[in-house]
Amino acid sequence: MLQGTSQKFRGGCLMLVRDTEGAVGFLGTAFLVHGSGYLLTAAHLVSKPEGLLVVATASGDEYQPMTFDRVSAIPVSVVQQDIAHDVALLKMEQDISIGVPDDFLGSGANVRSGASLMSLGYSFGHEQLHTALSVSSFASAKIRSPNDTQLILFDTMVQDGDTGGPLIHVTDGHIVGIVSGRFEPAEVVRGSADWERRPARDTNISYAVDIDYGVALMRAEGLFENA
Amino acid sequence: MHDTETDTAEEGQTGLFKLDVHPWVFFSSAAIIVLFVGLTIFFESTVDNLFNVVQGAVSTYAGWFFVGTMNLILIYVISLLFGRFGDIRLGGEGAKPEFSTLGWFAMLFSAGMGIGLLFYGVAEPMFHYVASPLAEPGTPAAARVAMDFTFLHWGLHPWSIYALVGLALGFFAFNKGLPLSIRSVFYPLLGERIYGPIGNVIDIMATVATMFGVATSLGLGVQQVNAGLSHLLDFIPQNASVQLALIAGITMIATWSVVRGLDSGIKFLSQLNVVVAAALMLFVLLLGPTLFILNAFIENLGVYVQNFPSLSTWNETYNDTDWQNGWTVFYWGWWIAWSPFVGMFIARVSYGRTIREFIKGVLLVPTLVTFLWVTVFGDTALHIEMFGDGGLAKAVQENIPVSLFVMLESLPLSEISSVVAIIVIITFFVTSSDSGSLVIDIITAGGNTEPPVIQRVFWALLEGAVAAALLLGGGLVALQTAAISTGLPFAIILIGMCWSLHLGLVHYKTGQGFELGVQGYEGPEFKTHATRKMPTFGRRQFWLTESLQRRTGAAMRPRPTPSPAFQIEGASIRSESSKSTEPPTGGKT
Repeated sequence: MLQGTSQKFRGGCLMLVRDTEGAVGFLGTAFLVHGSGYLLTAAHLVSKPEGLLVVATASGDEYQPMTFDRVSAIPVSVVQQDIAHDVALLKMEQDISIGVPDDFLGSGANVRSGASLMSLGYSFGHEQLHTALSVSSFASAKIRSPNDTQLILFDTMVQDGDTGGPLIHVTDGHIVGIVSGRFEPAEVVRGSADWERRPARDTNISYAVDIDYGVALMRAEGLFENA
Repeated sequence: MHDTETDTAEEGQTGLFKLDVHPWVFFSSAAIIVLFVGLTIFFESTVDNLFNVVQGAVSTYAGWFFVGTMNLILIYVISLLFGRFGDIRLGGEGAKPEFSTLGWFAMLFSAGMGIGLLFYGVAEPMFHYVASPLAEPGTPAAARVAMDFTFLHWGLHPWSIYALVGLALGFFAFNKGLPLSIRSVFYPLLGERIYGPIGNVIDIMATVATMFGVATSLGLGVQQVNAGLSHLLDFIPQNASVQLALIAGITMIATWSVVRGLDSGIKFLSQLNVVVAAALMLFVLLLGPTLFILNAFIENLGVYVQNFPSLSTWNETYNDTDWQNGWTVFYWGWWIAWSPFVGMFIARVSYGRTIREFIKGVLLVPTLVTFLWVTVFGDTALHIEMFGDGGLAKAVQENIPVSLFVMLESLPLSEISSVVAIIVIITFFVTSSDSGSLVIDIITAGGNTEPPVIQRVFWALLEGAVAAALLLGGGLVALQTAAISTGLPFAIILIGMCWSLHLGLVHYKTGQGFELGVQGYEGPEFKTHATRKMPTFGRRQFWLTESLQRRTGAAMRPRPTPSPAFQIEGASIRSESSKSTEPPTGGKT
């Protein structure tokens, strides 16, 4: 089951990088959502929209080189973004033939606590590991943040490079969220004498925003109009 | 996501008079229905002959095909029950069933079998008992074979057809977000072409077959109710005006029920219907030959299981008879012709069930209930015929609907049970009629599961009108024959449906991947280098309220006297870096 899920989605994951004068700096992960070259990722990765590129890596079952000195990249631009909910829709600027499965977009509504999940991302992209990793977890909770964003907490410690990758519901086989970061409980008590702000703890709980926000961007872009 | 999609579709199509129709399907179906009814009424005998010839040819030359198809579909449905797709939930992993399990069963059962069971529960075993193809008529062996054939015709095979169509429709509509319409089932095979002419033809065929199936059985059914009523009550004549009044009454209740919608109208009537029917069955079970029935139920099940492979593939190849054309093949054609209607209705009420639950609920439970029903009524009749006063076989051959009342008369308290039987018959009619119109409404509204009220009224009334016109003008039997003949093209469609559903299920969770054609891509090449992680990892905006975010300085100030451990972990550096993070915009200006 996990193997099938990984095989289905790995090919859709790409490295998100930025062109910095001939070299590329790693930003995070983006994943394909549409046959015309659209990808979703986390908005905070693309807060500066210049020089964005995506890099496809081999997704087969062979042993892959762990790192590449040179990569061939495809330019992308930000076509829609929702900063409040931390999702952005990118589009490839080149015309590339892309096949996507018949259906793979689920909804955070389908996640119940305890559900098996899988996240995919270039976990150690910052450290030059150019391979997407499949990581399993289960759903810890579904919460609404103070700015009313629907978040899925899951019990794995995502790495910095996982941000922007897909969170997949394993038994449903559909993407239910966009990995946003590690959960960081802010210990802030206001209006009390002993208020304090402790630095962030590295928890082993991560969070993803509901894919519905991404689907909303796709709808705003008119990607569902002929359906 | 799927809900909002239908919403937008609805808004797009809502225009004048709050109609929501698929123009091609709606108007073509209505025109074809009116045309056919007109032709049938004006050229009754010619049309009747033509349809009979067609139906005869279909039975003779395609009987083997029906038998094979039914078994193929049953095997496929059972493989789904045990297979790896069993835990896919209709509507997605988080979907919750719309109806309670009992309410669901009640609706399945009322739409699926309905009225036929009431009449044929008594009549069919009697027919097979006196004219058995596989045993000496009138012997205990004939009785056993008679019950076996009745189980075959009303058992797993018809329900597997309904389960297939219902499952395919529910899966493609609720999980893939396609319109709830027969055409959607072929998405894996036809792709976007389902929205074109091929899809329209499929939907028009389903609409017309459903209308003729439901309307003709309404027309024929009221004749039977009328026969029963005048048998019971001498002052009621057996004529067209009584039957028209019955059609009008049934259509009125059905319209009310369709307008009230699935949740109140149809569900309420189905549950009422099942409760009253259960009461009638219990009545016969307790006041009839109880021990004989209970013995028979177990034995019939055993005989059914024992003979299942041979009987369900039996083609009378080595007997030079055509008994099967009139019975088994007729039934198979009938169930297949009804499958778009019943399947669609089953799909509509099964949102939120897993595939395994669905098949248990649609294949196994109704089959067992049907077997119990057939045993109670059929074996009571057989008991009367074999060990009692007899005379039932004769009554059955004279008039099928009356045979039910003849049987009830041989039991105590027949005045009460006959009235209950009439109530059951009428409620079964209403539930078939209202679910039939609802299905036609949904298809002709392009898959909108909550079509506008004016369209619901239109189709419910048209159904009554077609039944009445055929009743007065003649041609009920002719058109029913025509409806059953559509079983042949539908059987081919059903096989395609198995394949299409299989592809859809395989592609649902895994099986298909993303493909990126970068082999030929000559893009710019870049050097890579190690990078610093994003400073905004673990976005504060989600954890701090907006008021706190604005006062970042104050809220983020580290504790004046940090503990030593705090320092060692290098935490203050981290908190410095988070301080330098630009304040989250929150997207709200």
